Amino acid sequence: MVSCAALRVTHTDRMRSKTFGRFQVADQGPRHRNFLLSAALSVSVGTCWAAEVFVDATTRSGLEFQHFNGMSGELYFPEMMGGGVALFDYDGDGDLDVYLVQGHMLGGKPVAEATFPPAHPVPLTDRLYRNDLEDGRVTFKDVTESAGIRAEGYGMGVAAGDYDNDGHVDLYVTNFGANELWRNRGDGTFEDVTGKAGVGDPNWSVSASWLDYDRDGWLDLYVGNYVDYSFDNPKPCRSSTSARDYCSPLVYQPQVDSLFRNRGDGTFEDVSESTGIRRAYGGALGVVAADFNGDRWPDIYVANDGVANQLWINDGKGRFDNDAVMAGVAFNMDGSPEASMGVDAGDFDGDGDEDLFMTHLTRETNTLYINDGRGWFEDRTVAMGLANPSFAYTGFGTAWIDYDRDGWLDLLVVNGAVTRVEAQLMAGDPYPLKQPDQLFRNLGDGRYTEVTAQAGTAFKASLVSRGAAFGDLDQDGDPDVVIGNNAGPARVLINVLQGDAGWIGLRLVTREGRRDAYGARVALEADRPLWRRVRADGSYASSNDSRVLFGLGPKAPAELAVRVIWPNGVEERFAGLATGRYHQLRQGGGSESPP
Amino acid sequence: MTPGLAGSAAGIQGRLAAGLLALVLTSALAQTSVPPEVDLSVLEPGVRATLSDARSLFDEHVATAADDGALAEAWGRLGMVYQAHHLQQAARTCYLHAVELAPGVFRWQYYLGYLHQELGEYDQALARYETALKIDPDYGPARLRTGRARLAERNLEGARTDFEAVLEREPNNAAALAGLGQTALSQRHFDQAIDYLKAALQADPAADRLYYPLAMAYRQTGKPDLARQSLEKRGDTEPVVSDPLLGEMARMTRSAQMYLEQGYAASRAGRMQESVEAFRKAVEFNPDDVTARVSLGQGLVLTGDYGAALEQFDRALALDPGHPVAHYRRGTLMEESGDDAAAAAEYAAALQADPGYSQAGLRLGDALMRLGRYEEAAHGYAAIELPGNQQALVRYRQGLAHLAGGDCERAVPVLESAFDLKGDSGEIYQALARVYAICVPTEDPRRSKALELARQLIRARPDEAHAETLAMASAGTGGFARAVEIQERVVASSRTRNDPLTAWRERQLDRYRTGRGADQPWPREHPVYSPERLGAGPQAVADR
Repeated sequence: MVSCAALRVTHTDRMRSKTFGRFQVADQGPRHRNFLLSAALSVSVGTCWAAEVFVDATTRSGLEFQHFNGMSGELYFPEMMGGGVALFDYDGDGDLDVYLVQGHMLGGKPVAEATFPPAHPVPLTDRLYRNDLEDGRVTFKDVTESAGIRAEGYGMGVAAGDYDNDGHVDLYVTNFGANELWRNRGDGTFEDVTGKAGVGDPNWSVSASWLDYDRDGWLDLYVGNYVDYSFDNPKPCRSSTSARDYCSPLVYQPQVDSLFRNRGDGTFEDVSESTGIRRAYGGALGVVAADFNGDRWPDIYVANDGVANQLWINDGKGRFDNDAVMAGVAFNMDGSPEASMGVDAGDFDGDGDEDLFMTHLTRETNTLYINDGRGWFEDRTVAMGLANPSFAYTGFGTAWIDYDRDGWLDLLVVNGAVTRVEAQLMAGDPYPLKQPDQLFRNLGDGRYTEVTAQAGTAFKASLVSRGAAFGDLDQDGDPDVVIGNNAGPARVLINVLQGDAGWIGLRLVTREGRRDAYGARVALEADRPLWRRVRADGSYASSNDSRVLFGLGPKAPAELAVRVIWPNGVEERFAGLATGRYHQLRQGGGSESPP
Repeated sequence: MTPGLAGSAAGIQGRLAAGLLALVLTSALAQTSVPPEVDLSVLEPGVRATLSDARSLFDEHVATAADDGALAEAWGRLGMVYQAHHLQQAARTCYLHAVELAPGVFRWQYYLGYLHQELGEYDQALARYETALKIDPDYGPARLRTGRARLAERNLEGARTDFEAVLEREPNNAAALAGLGQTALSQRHFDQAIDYLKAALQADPAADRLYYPLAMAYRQTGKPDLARQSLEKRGDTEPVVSDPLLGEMARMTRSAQMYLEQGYAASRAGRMQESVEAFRKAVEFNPDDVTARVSLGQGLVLTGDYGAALEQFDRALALDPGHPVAHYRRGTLMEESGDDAAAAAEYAAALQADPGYSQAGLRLGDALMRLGRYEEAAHGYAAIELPGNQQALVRYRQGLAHLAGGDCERAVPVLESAFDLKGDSGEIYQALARVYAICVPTEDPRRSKALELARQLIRARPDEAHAETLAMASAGTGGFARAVEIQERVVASSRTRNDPLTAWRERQLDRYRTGRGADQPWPREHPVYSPERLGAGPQAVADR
């Protein structure tokens, strides 16, 4: 059981904090509403926690998916990297469905030589599960066959986005091998349009991001590619103990990433060279798009494995420049490149800009970079209390989520080793990479504290976690998560935290009302505005719920106003939004808002 | 005896008895405790042997140990061997025994603290370090480590105190100065951070990793130019910390993998002789380690010992006949010695083992060009995929291979592709201008493009080769008088030098005089069709 008396920092205390972020005072709208919201956010009585924060609802939900990585004792590099997840509404019924990527045998070996036999019939394919949500109860049904998705590649990750603006979310599947674009026909079925679209990048791709980099209203596609691995030349690698082990990515040549510009006619143009994004590259594993320097053009952050990361700043004229080193996000505070896997961007300190968090290898710590508003960052991992707790783990999927709805973005990290854990290896575990996941709570005073031990039995499981997609599966206003485990079961963790914290959810769509406005930023009007961004990317090889959720703390007001900066830079204001429910905001449907 | 004294004596005797019993029990436990089981079968042969020997020695010492101190020594030594080979759980068990038996011995507390720190268990690390420092306050590295541990724990004032304590004894200790710099950076005292980091760099100029936090501090103080200058000097070398106890443990390592890593680190830092020595030890430790042999061979190439390098590559191939890197490296030695046929065979073998080995593909193509096997070369280049602008070079070479083989038509789209990839390359400009002048039909608008490209070349650099190109393009667009005028000067210059291609140039001049265009972009014997061999220029170094 956890204590109900969690201390909160009051609004006044935060204002006095010297080292905390800047505050912006909203001057629109009636002050009394803002005052009430501000007061609500500053209440010092803690939320009373339930015995569990997240419960493992996998069995109850009917999501029966076992990832098959095809391992056969050869220690093939790709076998321990896959496990992406997508949460998206494929059938337009308002709730989140799930897509999970699958692997198969590697190196031409027969299934009989698999270390862990497949749990599903061969040939194995990625799976699509429809959410038949009813009365808050999540129930998944495997609709892969009826949906016509026959994704048989060795799956790594997935990115969901409506590339053809028809109102139906499509899927880009990244593989070890050629990638696939599955177009959602809107009738419950999908078609493979990879060839026609021209986006079948043949490299080893892991994460991808849909973004409208040229602000022409069509979603473009950034694909992060990993390393040049070949079964014809597997390199025998050993760990520091001299035991045979998986290789480091530094043993292989990194592959260049790709950027595909959407022509708007169902096809894409490879603009990788002309936009300049091939001037720097490493083994990309995590990709997130956001406006990092506040100029209202989407930038791209690429988290690479073991080498410098890239921060591609969009010049608004079709070119990107890599400013990662000077911006302070290529390396950690010591100047060392880190093995970055998962990544997320978000305004965790409430100062209106997009900060960065990424997950790393055991003995490296995860890293948090705080944005100064201009696109320059400071590594404040140690100061935030995020260094020590992550030192012993290798993090993959991650996201900033407000799990307790207090308005502050918390962190959830899913872990799984990439080199064999000594104790597990010595104990004879055939897949000795297992690690537990972690939950960190934002204290609101510039620090995080690990609350894994208090988060419930769902966090006691130790698996080889990789992808994680975050979203409100049961539509109750708090974030849930589906975790992809390599050579393990996918897990559905539902947030069941009790309490009286209010919330409001927003789905932001483009002017035509068809597509989620990826890249749009929305600020809740209050003395301390809360900023969120519409996005599906981030985490690791996964695709998140693109709706934004605001936690409002206890005693939330009945109505709120928000300010939206749309992807094309236009601002609007929407007022009179009732809390405790979802709203759909369409560009053009609000009132003009001064910048 | 009075009752009080009697009672007191009884109490003392009781405590003594309990203490003795505890000691006996501890000793008995330590003597009967079994060392941790380590599955040696998963380790490389040399390490297996080392650990087996260490375990045998441990058993001997335990059997003959006269007191707890000797027992602790046995446990501690075994722990050191495990820790040296990164078997940390096993090492932990051993050290715990050692500190229990001999809590007053500095080294066991220190090693255990270091182990905790390696595992990120900073609280426990600090506890052990502090215990160790009570035993020996003068062991400098320990205070540095407590500083790092406190910094990681966000105890910034504690970290500062520790680093300052080190500086009291060693005012120029770069690691301590760097630690204070990092502490100041964490506290956002950027001016102070700058001072400390600069002092650290002055104390240890080779510690170029410090330029990065220095750059960040400059940036935060509004000095972006100084930040950029620092970033340009950024490297991977940390301040040297002289730690005799860790050095002693490191020498217990008997692992080819360990020596390989040492070799790679030395190689990255440009210390080639040191890397060769490390690779040599790796081979000595595990003669059947192909990677070690290939790495040693490559190190020997870079230090100029080609004969010994060849021997290593041969031995690697004897162990693994299909090893692509061994074939490739052997090929580079053949190429440098002038034997293109042998080099081509090795590169082909490398490609067969690893079809994605782009570098081998490029070198194979070049060797085939020098051998006059142009069609094969073109085919080989076509199969290569290099990232970014490097692909332009591949397409350029492929285009030349087609031209050398007399296949003008296939050369055009390939050279156009090279131009699209890297439109600012003079060589590609020149090649494209010439093929447009000769290889496309007369009415093709690209003939005019040839003239445009040629004029840009001349403007960029008015040399003889570009003049020849301009003459070719002029003739290609019907400007024969101009072509004659230019080509006459080219021929005159060629004659003056006794250039072997003079006859060919004269033939082109004759063609222009009679109203015909050039018959080929270059003669087959032109150096453009014979890519430079390894060892003949800067490319050799880059290739290595």
